[in-house]
Amino acid sequence: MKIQIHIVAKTLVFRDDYKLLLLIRSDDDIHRPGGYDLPGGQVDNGEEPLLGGIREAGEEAGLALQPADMQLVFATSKTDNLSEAKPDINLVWMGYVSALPAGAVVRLSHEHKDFLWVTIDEAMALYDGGTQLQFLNYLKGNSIAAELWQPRG
Amino acid sequence: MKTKVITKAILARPDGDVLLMRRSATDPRRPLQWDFPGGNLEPGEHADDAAIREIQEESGLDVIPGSLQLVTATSDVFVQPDTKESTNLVWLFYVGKVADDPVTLSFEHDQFVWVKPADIPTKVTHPEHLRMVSYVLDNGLLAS
Repeated sequence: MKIQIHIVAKTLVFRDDYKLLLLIRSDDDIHRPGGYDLPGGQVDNGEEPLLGGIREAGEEAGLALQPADMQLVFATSKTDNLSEAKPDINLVWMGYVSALPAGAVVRLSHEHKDFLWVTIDEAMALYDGGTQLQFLNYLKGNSIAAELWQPRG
Repeated sequence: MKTKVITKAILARPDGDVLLMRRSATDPRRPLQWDFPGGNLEPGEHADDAAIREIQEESGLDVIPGSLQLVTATSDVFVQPDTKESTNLVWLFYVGKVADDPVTLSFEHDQFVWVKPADIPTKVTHPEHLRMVSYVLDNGLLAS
């Protein structure tokens, strides 16, 4: 069976108060309309995943994330059963963490209708399931990952 | 262009030395080059599970639970010398710890060696792997 691989890079962007950025998908989106979303999207063929994540965060939220701030912490994959299309797709999902650049302002594209800043616990309560919740759970439970962005002490 | 996602792990034993393995002469990609354990991500597989599975298959070692950490990802394009077919390779790099257990190679490798982290570049030649090694050493990610 032929499997095509798609890479998705998403970024948990956090502020000085350790609240993280959640976007809300547009109502006319074919995938999860109105659903909560971390900035990010599909990495182009041959593109560095980190740079793909930065590009997508720029397109979707108007943010200029810095490569040196981007820390990869999580990667998983799932076979896509959204369509009958062949070949089958293995979606490789990569989760980065980055501080919000100083002075940055969120500017949404047509892909999202709103955004909010929430704590990781608030964010986890907003998701019903899915890979983004897995990522948040991982950050919450993994001491190495949590050190990256959670308040000290 | 086809994409492949490959995990690689820098594994440190208790004395701090890390495991390198030499690819078999019959390997269609990079024969006789020194390499880290790791391999292809299977469809639907969590990358951590893929890394643990490949380490076990290739070296017989079990990663100490909780010590495996994803550190960075890079990509490059591999051109098969005979067919000229291009593949987009996405590398997921890990660091992890193993106990002082014996290494058991599979058919994929013909030699292994434990080296000081600073000596990795005397054996490993792959540019993306060396980028990873610099990233890991510069950030002190192998320190226990």
